[in-house]
Amino acid sequence: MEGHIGYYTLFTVLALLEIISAVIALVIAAKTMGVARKIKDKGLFRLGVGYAVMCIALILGFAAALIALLYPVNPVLQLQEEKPGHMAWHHSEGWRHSPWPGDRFGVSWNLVLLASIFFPISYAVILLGLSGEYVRFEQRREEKFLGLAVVPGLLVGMVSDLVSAGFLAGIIVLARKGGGGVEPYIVFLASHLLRLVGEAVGTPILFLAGEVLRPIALLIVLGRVMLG
Amino acid sequence: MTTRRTKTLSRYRSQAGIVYDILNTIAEEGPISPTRIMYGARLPYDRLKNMLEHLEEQGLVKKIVEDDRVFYDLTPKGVEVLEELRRVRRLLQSIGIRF
Repeated sequence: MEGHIGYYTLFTVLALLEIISAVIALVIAAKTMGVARKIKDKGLFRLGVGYAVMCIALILGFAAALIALLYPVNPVLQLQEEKPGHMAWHHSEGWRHSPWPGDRFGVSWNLVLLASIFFPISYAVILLGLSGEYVRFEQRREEKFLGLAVVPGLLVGMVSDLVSAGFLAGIIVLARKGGGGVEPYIVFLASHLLRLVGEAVGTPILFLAGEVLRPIALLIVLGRVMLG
Repeated sequence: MTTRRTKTLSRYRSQAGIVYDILNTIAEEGPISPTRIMYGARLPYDRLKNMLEHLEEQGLVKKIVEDDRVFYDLTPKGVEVLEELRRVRRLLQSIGIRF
């Protein structure tokens, strides 16, 4: 019974954080793209597009949390069917198991994976936008191809987190040079590193801590704007 | 020391920040010569010239020629954009764009 309450609390909090963050990302995208269009600033426009893509990823995360909440599966029973004697919250099967405590082979996990692909894309576009804003004399263009062939689901998540971390490191360096706010990006980076460790060692609690931390980055933006 | 600091700040100022500084300088001093905008917006003349041409094309500033002297003033669209930039300034700073 205790486990059920924890399950419902976790996914309710996650769903709420994801949807609030999606709204914040949408507002950032709309305002940034609105200004960018008026001053015809491509860099700023790309930054807005990056946040629009992030909004899509957050909506996917919200949908995943909502599905896990509405159609709960008992992860303990699900794992015990496959591996008798194993506890879902304590196993460390590494590559073979997803750290998602919802339906580990169902729609919600696939939505989490899809969101994992959208996040690095959004960071890449934000990085391009900031490059356009701050790096004036270099005609540098980075093309990143994400291998979206048929690969194990967990590998998609891990590669996405690794690529995200790389892009975020670039964003932090550029934003710091410009003197702009870097705190949200540091939180995003911490979230992806937590997810990566969670995926690598198969620890759901680390993976979920990363999932919860990520929307908090956008709440920091909201807090900074509101508090001045 | 001051010169070095100014150079560093100019180097990493965002494009949106430069537009804001130009529009803000023009708004504060009314019709104003390019030289004064140059000091107000902390930009070298060649870059300012390009920026002013760009802003004129976008209909944000207008060029006024009086007795062979050139001045720039904001258009109504320029006033509107400056207000919008002021409004979203804090948001943009939070996401890494410096003003």
